Amino acid sequence: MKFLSREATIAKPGFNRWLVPPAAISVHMCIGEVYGFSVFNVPLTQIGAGWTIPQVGWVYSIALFMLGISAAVFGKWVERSGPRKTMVTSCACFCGGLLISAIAVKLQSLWLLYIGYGITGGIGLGLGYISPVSTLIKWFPDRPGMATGMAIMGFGGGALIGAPLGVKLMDFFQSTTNSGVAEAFIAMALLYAIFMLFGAFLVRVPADDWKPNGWAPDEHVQPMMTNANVAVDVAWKTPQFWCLWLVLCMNVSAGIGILGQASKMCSDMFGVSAAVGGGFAGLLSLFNMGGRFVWSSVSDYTGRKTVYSIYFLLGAILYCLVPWTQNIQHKALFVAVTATIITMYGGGFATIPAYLRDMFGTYQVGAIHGRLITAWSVAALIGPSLVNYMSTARIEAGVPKAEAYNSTMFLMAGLLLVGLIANLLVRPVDSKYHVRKSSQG
Amino acid sequence: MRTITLVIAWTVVALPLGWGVYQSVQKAMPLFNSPSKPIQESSLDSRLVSGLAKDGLRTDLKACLGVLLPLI
Repeated sequence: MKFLSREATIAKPGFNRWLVPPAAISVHMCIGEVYGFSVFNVPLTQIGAGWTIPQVGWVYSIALFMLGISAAVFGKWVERSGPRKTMVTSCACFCGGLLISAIAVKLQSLWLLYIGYGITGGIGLGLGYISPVSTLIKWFPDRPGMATGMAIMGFGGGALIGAPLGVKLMDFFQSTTNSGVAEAFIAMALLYAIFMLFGAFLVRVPADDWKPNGWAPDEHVQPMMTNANVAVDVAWKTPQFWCLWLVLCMNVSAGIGILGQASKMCSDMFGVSAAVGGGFAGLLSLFNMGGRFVWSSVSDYTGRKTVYSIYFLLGAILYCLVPWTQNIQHKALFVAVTATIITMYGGGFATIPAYLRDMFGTYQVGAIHGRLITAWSVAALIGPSLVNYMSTARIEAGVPKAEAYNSTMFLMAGLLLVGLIANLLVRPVDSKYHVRKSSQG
Repeated sequence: MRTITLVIAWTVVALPLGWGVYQSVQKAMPLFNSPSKPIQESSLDSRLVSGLAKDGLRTDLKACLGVLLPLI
């Protein structure tokens, strides 16, 4: 087990740090499969167990909830144990969860499915999400935004891979007597295990005194970028943590509301077919993935506070424009506006670890990131519910489907303005919270 | 040797990501190929339907509270 320890992963002199991003991406693109889980919803209702769509839908919600909880609870353990042990544990949980799910399908046990994919797999998601991000921040002190953007772009890419892969595997294993779901789960578990273990094998942490060639920490400390460190147990009691929590929660709530309903919204607003609506959803996924890398890299030059102000302000304006694009029935403009919004949604996810590093240093940034991710879990509840309930209530009140989303768009703009205020309130952390060098260990 | 390792590592992640992007682009193609169907009620007419503009805000507020109150 020494191979898994943190000490065994310390890079030797001359190690190329550009080997670490593929390690991080390989883990993230596997766990990002959770976004594509919906392709199993209908087949799971057809295995003869009498499961309904809402019952099966809980699997996804439990998994995302467990992602937030496990990231928050195990964050300190992740920092202590190092990335390799965490990635292997994440692999065991995520792929083990898929195997348990396969058994659940065979036994037709819904509870086992919740325990398998939802709880066990969800823990794998949380561990796999924070570990590579924290490692990359340490390898790229000169460009932390770009580094975290690469890893979290992998998570967005995981959705693009997971959904079609699930469909193709089910088609491959399907027969007149078999839905192919259990076999698809098993095949995915094996495939994902290969990639996740590849990442765990490749990953390294830098030595404590390592710095990129020719780079030195800025002598003149920038006000919004600290060279000091804050411990996780202290960080989460600071107002900065809760401002950033709100920043993430509002950004994700606004974006997830559109992303989750994209296909139906496009069909309702423009009267297009379900296939075209699906195409729109696919396009948004691409922009979601691209935005993660592009915006996060941009934040290295503009600063994190500025880039979030852009997300919120530009996002709010664009949300207010969506009803207008529907009113003039300009589909291309609608696609351009929503795609831009979604790039900033992705960018918000990818930039937050770098923002945390700027505020709290690198010491326990993974653990702090883990606790902040609970904002995602809350947003995953608020965002889709708001869009769902508001549009349904509008339709029930007699508003034509095409216009049912208009007020939702204004509400999303409002959420972004709340996020903007929280972002503007972020100030440097008081030095009384900083960890003294002797206690960093 | 180091360069080869680097190329292999990036290829291992680029291949599945590229496949995923290709699948999404294919899925998105119908969006650019099909014209909009006319929607059932025109947007201008709809504003006159049953005084919705007045009731809209109340309905939205109710829906918002319905979502947010259980969370609080």
